[in-house]
Order: sequence, then structure tokens, then C-alpha cells
Amino acid sequence: MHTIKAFFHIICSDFKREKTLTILSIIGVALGIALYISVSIATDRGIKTFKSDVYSLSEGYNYEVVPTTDQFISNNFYKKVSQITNDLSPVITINSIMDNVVQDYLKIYGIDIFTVKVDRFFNQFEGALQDFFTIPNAIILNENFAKTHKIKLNDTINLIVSDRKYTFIVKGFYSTKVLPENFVIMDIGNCQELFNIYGLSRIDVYLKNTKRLSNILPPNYLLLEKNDMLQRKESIVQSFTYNLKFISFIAVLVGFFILYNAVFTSVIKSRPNIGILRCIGFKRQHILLLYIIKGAIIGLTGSIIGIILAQFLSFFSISMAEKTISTIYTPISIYDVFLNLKNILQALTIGIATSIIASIISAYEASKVSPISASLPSIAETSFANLYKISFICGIFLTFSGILISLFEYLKHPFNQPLLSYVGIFLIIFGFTFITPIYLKIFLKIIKRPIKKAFSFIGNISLNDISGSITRFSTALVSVMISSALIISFFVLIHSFERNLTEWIDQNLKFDVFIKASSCSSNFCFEPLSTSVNDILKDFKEIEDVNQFRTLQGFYEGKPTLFGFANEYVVKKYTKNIIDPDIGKKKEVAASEYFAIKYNIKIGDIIKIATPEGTVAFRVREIFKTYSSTMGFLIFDRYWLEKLWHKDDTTQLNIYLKKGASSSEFIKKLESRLPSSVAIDIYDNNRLKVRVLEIFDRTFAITYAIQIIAFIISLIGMINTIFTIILEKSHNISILRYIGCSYNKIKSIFMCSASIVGLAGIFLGFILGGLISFIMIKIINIISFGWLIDIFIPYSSIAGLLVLLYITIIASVFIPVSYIKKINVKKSINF
Amino acid sequence: MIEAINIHKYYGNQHVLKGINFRINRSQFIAIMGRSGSGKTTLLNILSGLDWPDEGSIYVNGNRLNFTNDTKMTEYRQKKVGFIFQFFNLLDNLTLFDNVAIPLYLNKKYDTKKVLDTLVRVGLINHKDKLPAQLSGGERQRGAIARALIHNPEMIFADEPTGSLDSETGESILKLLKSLHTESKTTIVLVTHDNLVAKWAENIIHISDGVIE
Repeated sequence: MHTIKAFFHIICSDFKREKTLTILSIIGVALGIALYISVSIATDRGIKTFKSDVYSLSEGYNYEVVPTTDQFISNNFYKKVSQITNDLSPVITINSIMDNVVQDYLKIYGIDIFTVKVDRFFNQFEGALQDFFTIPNAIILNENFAKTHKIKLNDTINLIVSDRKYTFIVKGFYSTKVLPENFVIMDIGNCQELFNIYGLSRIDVYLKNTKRLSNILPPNYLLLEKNDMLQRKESIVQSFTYNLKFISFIAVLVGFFILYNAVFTSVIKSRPNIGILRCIGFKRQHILLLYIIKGAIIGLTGSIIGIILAQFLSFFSISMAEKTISTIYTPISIYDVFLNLKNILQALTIGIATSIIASIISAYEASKVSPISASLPSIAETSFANLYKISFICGIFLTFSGILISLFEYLKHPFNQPLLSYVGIFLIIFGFTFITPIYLKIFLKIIKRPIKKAFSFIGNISLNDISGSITRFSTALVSVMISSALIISFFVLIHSFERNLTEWIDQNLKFDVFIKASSCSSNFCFEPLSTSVNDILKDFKEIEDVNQFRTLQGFYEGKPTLFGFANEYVVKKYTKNIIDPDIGKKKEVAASEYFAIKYNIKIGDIIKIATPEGTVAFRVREIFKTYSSTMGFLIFDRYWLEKLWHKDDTTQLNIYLKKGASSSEFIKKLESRLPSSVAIDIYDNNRLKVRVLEIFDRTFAITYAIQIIAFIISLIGMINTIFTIILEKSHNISILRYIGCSYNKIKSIFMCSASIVGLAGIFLGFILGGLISFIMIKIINIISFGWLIDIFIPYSSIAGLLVLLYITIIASVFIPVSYIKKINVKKSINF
Repeated sequence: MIEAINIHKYYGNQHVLKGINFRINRSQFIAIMGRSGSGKTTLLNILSGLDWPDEGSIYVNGNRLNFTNDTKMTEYRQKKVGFIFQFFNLLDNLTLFDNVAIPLYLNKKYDTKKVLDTLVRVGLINHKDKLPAQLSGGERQRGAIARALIHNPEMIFADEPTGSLDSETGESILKLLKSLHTESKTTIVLVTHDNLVAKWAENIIHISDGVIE
């Protein structure tokens, strides 16, 4: 008890003495944790909402039957299943968007309310149940959603489904505990009538034995275990979540270095006190524990602040994740934006664990201080100096291991996710971290003469300062290196992506006007446009050609795959200048690069596709680039849509106008002829290109935010290190003051040191960033998203960015150097 | 010439200097002597412009030191003052050569030859590339002396310069100081509690409980 009390007093007095350093470390940890947790919340809630249609209404059912070749399961098949078991529930799902300013994405569920086994579903039902069945447009809403939008019982709301506006009457509410906020519940019979659907999206079923159902299962339906379906759904967005978590964890890593630096400084400053404690009977274990506890307290405080910050940040990150998932995968609206106990515990665990690990080396150094050596300067720098060579060898080993592991993944693709490359990048970062002391020494040797020549006395002192505190300055260098590497790698990735996308846009988006349903927010929509749009278009003489595109959710080898159906004749005519009237009738298919990579498909291969007419073999005619989906994507001619899928509808239209026809006038004319009930978005070519790039920016919005925060953390790292060095060098600063050195000159010395270390860090960061961007573009991107992109390095922009980065780093040092004036020169000197 | 007139200094409730008056002429070698806590170091800090009196004035060559102007006080120390401390206070990361050269850099009069000559003068030319940690106590103090005199200051303030040295080394340091004083005619103000050390000075000012006896 007494020991604990003593610990408490010592730690408190240490914190008081090292106020600024402690605060900086806490901020560093807090920002790292906040970033990681907010990204985790965003991605986890994104996945949860994404999967909600699988698990939310499925309570009590262990299997589901889904169509593989069409949008719906036939009512006849439902009847057959109901003869096998009564324990089943038919479900229709339809995407919709609320006709309001925010445009919330809502999922309409047509269900047989008596088959829903969700616990207390009825208990929460507030309206008149009879109305729900008898009124064709009656719906039940989530109570929170209704409260947020001030919707009361019997109010009407407008929803856009595909390109049509529908008015619904609210006849009840369910609790958020029962179903998510973006669910709209309808009676299945009403739903089928209202939307003219003659089938079901899925059948939820409880089966002890699947044999009987499997026997009657047609080839174009799949019987899937609910858990399996959840996993399949999760795997679709997994790449997105892994990527973000990976980047945000790097920020935690920088926070780790800041904390390491703080505890290390505390040990050096407290050496005499440690000596006294050892003299009065403190054991080595006590000292070790003391500094570990100190680190843990910083970690705990940082984590608590990080949790509060994470809550604020998550409002932003959730909105970004929502937009990204809605664009690339399926429309979602995330309402669950608050941290839960799991997130809090995760933050505390990561914060405290990282802090303890960061404190261990320093705590060990502290425990080695003997009462006799306490008055001597720390031997840490000297003892670390002996380890530089070993550290360098380890660094080289780790770097090469990281490269080899990533290379192995590049060649073999052993997992669905680029897990080895993530590990590889971390190994490379650690490798670079370990080589920094030797690198800094070499860097100093190279720049010694020019620096001395340019800055004479100031340069000389700062060079010697750095040489004398290589370990300390290496910590600052690592902070700068990691953040610049992160910035450079993402800059190269985003720029390369943008260039590839721009080229792709120029090659593929040749049409003059693009039409899609307003409710369609993703890159692909599955709800077809109403026939009235096609009918109206027939009257326009300025139209040269139309590519009627249809998307279907298909399966290939049991895995979700996008099927697109286009007028190949039109597409080839405008994109490749190929005039081949028979191109569509050939049993050929175009496969996306991702599909080709994932299933090891080459041009000329024959692939078997499950269609409503049975399995049909198609020859792979070409492999194309696409940046609009992260699933495998196959494009057939519309001929096959009609012949095998028996459909002739469209989800989006690409219109090619005759020469001389004006897109804007065409759009005006079209809009004036559309009935008010039709809700479609019409874009001319330029607006569409701008929109594509906007979507691109939106997709990377969260990445930009992560980069900024990671950069702020690294600036804190730099400030922290320079501040630490100023504290350590207060004796030398005092000597200089005694012998007539002005404050400005002393500040210049530290600015010079920061400039040298900053330059060294940015240079190493440039190399590290290059390596990371290569791995991200050539391995992670391909495995995660199936996007093959060429690397474009915008040298002049990178140079500009690095200069900006450098200036920011140097400017950040103004904060700690202002502390120099506060040093008590008389107290800091040994008379 | 340095003239202190009615210097008072307080640290909180503690009255450290209680009306100090003295005058040190140009080229004088003077010792300020007193026991620990008598106010010697405070007085030295005030004379060098690092601390300021709460009352009274210091005149150097007839000019009143303006303690409120940090730039001027820094310039004063840079050009006119040299410092020697008990614990040497050389910059630990710089070689002896670089340490000695600092005042020349600060005065923008860097001259390699002068640094080398000064090191020869204090007998440390063979150690010029060593770091302070690689030198003995006496060698470090010689280095500190070289740094104090290289820019030909008008006065050198030495605070217990032999305090951390053995008697033999201490004596050699004092001999060196004396001979330098003889050669360069620099005013030397030596602060000590040791009677034997004080004897090396031409005049002794005794200070006790903040007053000159």
C-alpha cells in the first residue's frame, strides 16, 4: 500500500514537472486512438448495416434460398418449399431513397409479418395491425427514424423506388432494438402488388436437414446457410475495411513513438531521483513497474481523450464510409453512430497495451540505474550506440522480409485479402525504423560540409547535437519518415488511380447522355427503369444510338458476381470503332480484370454461367478494366439477356446523339416530356465525367482525413522530440547564454537540427513511401479490389508536396523552441 | 572599469545582496571571497548581466548596464565578458576545438589560427579534436579558460575555477590564469570561498550575508 502511495506521488510529481511533454504524449496517443477507433466504428457499422438485411429479419431461420440468375424466386417454388416445411418466411427487398434533402437510403422489406420470429416485434407495434394489411401502401417505420424525421402515425412519406415516386402511409413503428433504422416494413402481398413483383427476393427457412429442399432446388437457386451468407456479405466489404483499418493503425504506430520518447525523456530527466529511490530501498522491479505504470497512465488518459475524440471523428468517418459503401457496393444509411462498450474497451486495450510496450525499453533503462551511477549522465545513448549496427542489420532483414512476403503474395495470392502485404508493409516500416540511426549518421556525414559552410557555427553545433543524440533524433526522424511515407504513398496511389480512371473515362464514356433511376446511388442499380422512359426516347429523332444497360446480381462458382448486359454493337462502335452487327449473337462474354485474376481466366477460355435456361458456356472475348465495382464483373450482350434471362428492361441508358445535336437541349426537351411521377437523373457527358471524379474523391475522402490526422500526429512527434531535446539540452543552452549567445541564435540551432532531421526523414519517407505505394498499387489493390492500375508518379507535385511538408515540419518546431526563453539559465548551469 | 553601486537583490523574502558597492579597475585581478550562500554567485550573475539587481546599478567603463534590454546584455557578454565555471561547462557534443571557437563565431571573427594559437597557449593543442568527456578535469578547465579568453574580452569572470580540481591541478590553473592576466591585462574577477585561491588575486573583496565586509 505504501509502495503504491509512493508510486502515485512520484508519478504525479513527474507529470507536473514534465507537463508539456506529458500533454503532447497524451495528445499523440489520443489522436492515434481516436483515428483508429473512429475508422473501426465507421467500417464496423458500415458492415453491420450492409449485412443487416441478412440477419435482421432472419431470427429463428438458419438457411435462405436466393436466386442466382434472376432477381426473384418464383412464387411456385415458394409453394413447393412450403410443402416441405411450414417454418419459412418469404422476403422481398427493394432499395429506395427518401424524397427529402438528406436523401436517406431506406430498404423496403415486404414480409409476411406472421412468419417473422424477431422477438417482441409485435410488442413494439403501435399502429392498427389491420390497417397494415388492408391499406396497400401501409408501412411500419423505425421509431428512432420517425422521431428524427418528425414522422407521426398516419403521416405520409414519399420514397423513390427506381425511377418512380411512391407515397406511403405510416401505420406503425418498431423499436430500434428489433430492427435497424433504415428498414421500411410492408406486407408482402401489398409490396408485390404495388411494385408489380411476381416473386420473392429470398426465402428464409429453418431446416434441420437440407436434403429434401436440396432435392427440389433448381440450378438457378442457391440454398445458403445464414452464417455463410453473412460471411459472403462481409467478404465483399472486407477489403475496404481492412484497408482503412490498416492505414489508421499506422497513426497509432506514430503515437507509439511519441509515447516512447516521452517516457524515455522522463527516465533521463529523473536519473538522480531514481538514484535516490534506489538508495532508500526501491528495488529494480519497483523502478521498472514505476515507469511502466507511468506509460500506462499516459496511455489510459490518451485513450480516454481518444474515445471522446473518436466519438466526434466517427460522425465524419461514418458519413464517409456510408458514402463509399453506397457508391461501390449498395446504398446504406448508418444510424448507429455512437460508440459502444466494445469500442471503448478496444480503445482502452490498444491505448494501454501500446503505451506499456512503448514504456518497457525506457523502464528497463530506468531499472538499470544504480544509486552510484544516478548522478552520471544517462548511458542510454552510449548503450544504444553499441546497438546501431545490430539494429541496422535487423532493419535490413525486416525490410527484405517485408518485400519478400509481399512479393510472395503478389505471385501466389494465398489469401482472399492481402494480409501478407499488410504484414509486409508493417515489417518494412519497422525495418526502416531500425535502420534510422545508421542512416542518420551517414546522412550527417554527407551533409556535414555543406551545412557547416552554409550555417557555420549554428550548423556545427546542431550537427554535433544530432551526432550526440542519434537515438533521440532518430525518433523524430521516424515520425517524419512514417508520415511522409504515408502521404507520398497515398498521393501516388490516388494520383495513379485518378490518371487511370481519367484514361478509362476518355476511352469508355463516349456517349452524350446518361440516364439512371434517381434512387440508384451506387455505381450499379438493379431496379429497372420504367418502360415509359424508353417509350419517350423513341420519339427523339436526334438520337443516333442507345446502349440499354441492365445489371443483374449473378453468381459465378457460387460467389456473388455482377452481370451486365449491354448493346455490344453500340459499345464497340463508339469505343473501339468496330462495326460488327453479329458481335452480340456470339456466345462471348467480357470479363473484368478482377474476375480474370480471381478465377485465373484468360482470353479464349470457356466459362460456364448459370442462367434461368440452365448452365451455358461462354467464351471470354476480352478482359476489361473497371473501377466501378470490387466484385467480379461479366458483360454479356443484351441478346443473351432476352434469350436466356427473358428480360428486356434497362437499369441505365447511354445515349449517343446525332452529329450536331446538342446534349443540353436534348436533356431539356427530355425533362419537359417526362411525367412528374418519374424520378430519373440525366447527365450530359461532361457532367457525368465530373460526377465520376466526384465519386472518386468521395471514395478517398476518408483516406485524405486519415492522412491529415496521421500527419498531425507526426508533427506532434517532431514537436515532442525537439521539446525533449531542448529539455535535455537546457544545460548546454544555459552555457551558450552565459557566453553571449542570443536566444535567436539558440533557436536557430534547434531549427537547423529540425531542418536536418526533417530533411533526412522526408528523404527516407520518400523511399519508404515509394515502396509502400508500389505494394499498395500492385498487390493490395489487385487482391482487395481487383483494380489493375499503372503507376504514375507526379514528380513535380510530389516535390511541391514535400517542400510543403518540410516547411510545415520546420514551422512546427517554432512551438517547442519558444520554450527556450523559459529555461532558467542560472538553475540549469553547474557553477 | 566595473563599478557596483548599492546593489540589492531579493529572492522572494530572502535578501541576498544588501547594498553592495565596489569598484574594479581595468586590468585588475580581483577575488570576491565568501562562504557558501554569501551571495557571491548572485553578484557574479549580476555583473555578467544574466541576473539583474532589484535596486542599484552596475557601470562598465562608465556605461550603466541596461538589464531590461536582453539583446544588449547578450551582446555585452558576447563581446566583453569571458566565463570560467567550477564545473567547466564545455558543450559536451562539441570537440575542444569547436568549444573554444564558439566566442569567435558569436563575434563573427572566426579564425582557425587564433583557435589553434589559443589552444597552444593553454597547452591543449594535442587534444583539440577530443570531446570534453575524453579530457581530464584540469584539461577541461584549461579548455574553458581558452574559450573565455579567445575573443579578448575586457573581463573574465571565474566562479570557483579550481573548486572541482585537486590542489595540484588547481594551482596549475591559477598559474595559467595569472600568467594570462599578466600577458593580456584582462580584468579578472575570481569568485571563491578558498583563502588560498583568493591569494592569487591582486585585491580581495570579502562578502558575507550579502554585504561587503
